[in-house]
Amino acid sequence: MILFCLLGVLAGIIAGLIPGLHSNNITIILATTPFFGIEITSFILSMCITQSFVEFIPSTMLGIPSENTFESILPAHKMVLEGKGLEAINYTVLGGIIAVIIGALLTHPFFLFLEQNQTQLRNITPLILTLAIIIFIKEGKNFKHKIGLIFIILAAGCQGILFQDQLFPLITGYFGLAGLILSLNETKNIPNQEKGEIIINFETIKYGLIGTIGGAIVAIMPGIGSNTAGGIINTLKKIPNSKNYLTLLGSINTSNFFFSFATLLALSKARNGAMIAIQEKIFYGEETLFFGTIIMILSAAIGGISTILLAKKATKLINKKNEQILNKICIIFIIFLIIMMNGINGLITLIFSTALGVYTIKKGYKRSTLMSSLIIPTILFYLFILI
Amino acid sequence: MNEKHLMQLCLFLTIFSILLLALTYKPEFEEKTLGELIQKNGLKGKVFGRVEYVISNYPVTIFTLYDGNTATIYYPKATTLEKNNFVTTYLENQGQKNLFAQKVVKE
Repeated sequence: MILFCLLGVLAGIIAGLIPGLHSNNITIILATTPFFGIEITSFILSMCITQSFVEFIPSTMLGIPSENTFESILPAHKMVLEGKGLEAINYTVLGGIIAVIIGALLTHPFFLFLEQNQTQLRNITPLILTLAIIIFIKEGKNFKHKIGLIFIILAAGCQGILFQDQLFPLITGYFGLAGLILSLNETKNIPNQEKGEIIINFETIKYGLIGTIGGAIVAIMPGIGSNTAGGIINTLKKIPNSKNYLTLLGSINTSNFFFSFATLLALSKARNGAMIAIQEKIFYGEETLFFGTIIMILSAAIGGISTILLAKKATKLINKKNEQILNKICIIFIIFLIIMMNGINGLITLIFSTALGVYTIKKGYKRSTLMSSLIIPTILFYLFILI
Repeated sequence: MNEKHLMQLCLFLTIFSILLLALTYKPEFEEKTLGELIQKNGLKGKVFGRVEYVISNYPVTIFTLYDGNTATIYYPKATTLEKNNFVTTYLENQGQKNLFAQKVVKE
């Protein structure tokens, strides 16, 4: 079992470092193999948990998002420009570690909560999402600004509906390529990255805990990803600094996966690609939950160590390079990757989403407003189920 | 706290979870016979045998399995099992001599 776990960690590191290669792609292949039982479950759980840690490295250092990390790009990349890239990644690792520790303790109460409140949770979700949209608009400085925000929300929402099967190009355009293109005109170099000193205090733990609970709630609800949850929490309760926000995102990302396994065992409902692959492969029972939980703690710990070590290597790489050269390489890499993975439809999506991303930044609107591309389709999805 | 401390925390969790696994892990399904499984409630085991009769294939599968002894197996999924198929089953005794299959694999 430990061997399968280590292989899973290795696959998770590879999947995390290559933007666009999601562990779901690998689990789909595994789903067709004749393996089943705790061994294959160990592999898949380890891979996905490790990826939830490692995927913050390309997001932070290169500004290339994954569908789970794009909310982290703005605060994390800002910290890279201040020479605190390692610190940013360490906060996401800390968030993930808090999530697995608290997650392991909360698994049983989570089961009880799940059984008693599932219907109510489903009913209030569209209300919470609508509230987030209203808060986006309320943040406008004046009437003209608010009209501009409504335009962006509607445009992003339409793009989200039109390109719902092209999630990677969509978010890469908004949160990756748009910023990279605009930064081509800037002439600042990435400073040497300092040591990754982090401060743990009550606030850090608090946001790790909030993120863990947020990730657990997201694990129950289809259609809401870790980033949407992070964005909503940030919108509802302003998070005072980037460090706490990164801790929150790290914990949501890991906890989402951690609890989606518990949800699968409790309700027999798969909430992500990995769980869909696992559901036909596992033996349902308390032993599976117990060993699965230990495997996830083990892979989170190894994933955390790997992320810290790999982040150090990555900083050495970016310290030597001029940001503009790196940005040009990233732009070419992103376009190549999207053509390879999503074809011409992906490229078209990328062009439209980048255009809206550039417009949003140029006009001085908050880029998190572009999350409406995920929130509006999700509201419609829930209304469609409920009506 | 710096990254060294964070790594120490991760290392502690690694050792802790490996120890916990080493102390508690036992294979979920060990090779057993139908005779052994029928005798004790809650017992789990992996049994290889021949399908004697298929009572139902859809929406759930109910069949009798022979491995020297015979038992009726309930599997909560549709299958294409037929008489005289050789199968490996992952069974649990859920009381009253009913054997519940978590997985049935045709050989």
